Amino acid sequence: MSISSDIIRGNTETIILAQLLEKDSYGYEISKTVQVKSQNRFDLKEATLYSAFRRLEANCYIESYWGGEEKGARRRYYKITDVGKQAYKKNKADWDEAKEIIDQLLV
Amino acid sequence: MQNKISQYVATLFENKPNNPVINELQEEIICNLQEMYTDYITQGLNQEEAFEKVVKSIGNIDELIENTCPTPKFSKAQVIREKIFLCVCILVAFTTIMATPAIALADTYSFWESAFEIPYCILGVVSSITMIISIASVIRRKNDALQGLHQLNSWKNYYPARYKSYKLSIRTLWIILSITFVILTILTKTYILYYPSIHEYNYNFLNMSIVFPIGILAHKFIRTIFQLITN
Repeated sequence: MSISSDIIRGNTETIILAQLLEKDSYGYEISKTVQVKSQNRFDLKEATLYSAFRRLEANCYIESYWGGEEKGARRRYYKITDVGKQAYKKNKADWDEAKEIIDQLLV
Repeated sequence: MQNKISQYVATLFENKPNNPVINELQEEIICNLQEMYTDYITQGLNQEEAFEKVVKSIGNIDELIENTCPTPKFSKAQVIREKIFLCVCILVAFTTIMATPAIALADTYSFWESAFEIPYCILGVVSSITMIISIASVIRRKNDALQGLHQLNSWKNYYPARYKSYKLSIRTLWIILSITFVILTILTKTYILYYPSIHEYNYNFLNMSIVFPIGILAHKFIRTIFQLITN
């Protein structure tokens, strides 16, 4: 089953930041990790993923660099910045708080 | 099949802004989709099924491009200036074309005087081409008058060296033309207001009506050259 809930989509950028906290990564690897960790219940469309990358880059939360060539095309790797790490901590705290409130409200 | 993926992505990017940022995005997407395709094949899907799944995973490319390269917003003054420039190009080209046969057919000239018409004829050809390009560009896309602005902004952001040389070429052109105009005005004394005879009209026409129209056509021509280089 695939979830396309707005709640998850609204947190796409935080989800990406969380993956980049572990190591530098590239689009498909992040997308695959998200799919595996969510047990195939949530998948990121390419366009959504790259739109999120562009927004994160614009906010200086991540940086990118080109890696090696794969079958004629190069891989672009993304790296979380210190500003990105702080943004992740704040988003995570916001989410924990929101989750707690919703848990209390939904019985 | 890997080529099929590249070709498919290329079709999605057709008619999209052509700049390094978009080209890199395209390259990045192709690389990831190829890896995804290989994974599906490893999982046991056949080529067609794998390709179909890869295509489904792409999503809305238009939204992505808008996020990557937002459509620039222009000031009203910029838009009006650009539209006026296009109209003047068409008008000047049209006027020059109309003037060329009139001069060429005039029977007041001797053979040698007629030789003076050659520049007009060349100008007529250049004008025809410019007018055809301008009209075709207007017909091709309703809002094409803004294409020039889009391109200038694109050069400014992504090809700063090219933008610099374009600006330098245009400035040099107008400085040379302005100096030419001043020299011609002094040499032909056209700063003195009088009713010219048919022979003197030639000089007035050359001085007042040709120098700046040539500038506008040359301006358009230089821009076209730079457009061709960029594309």
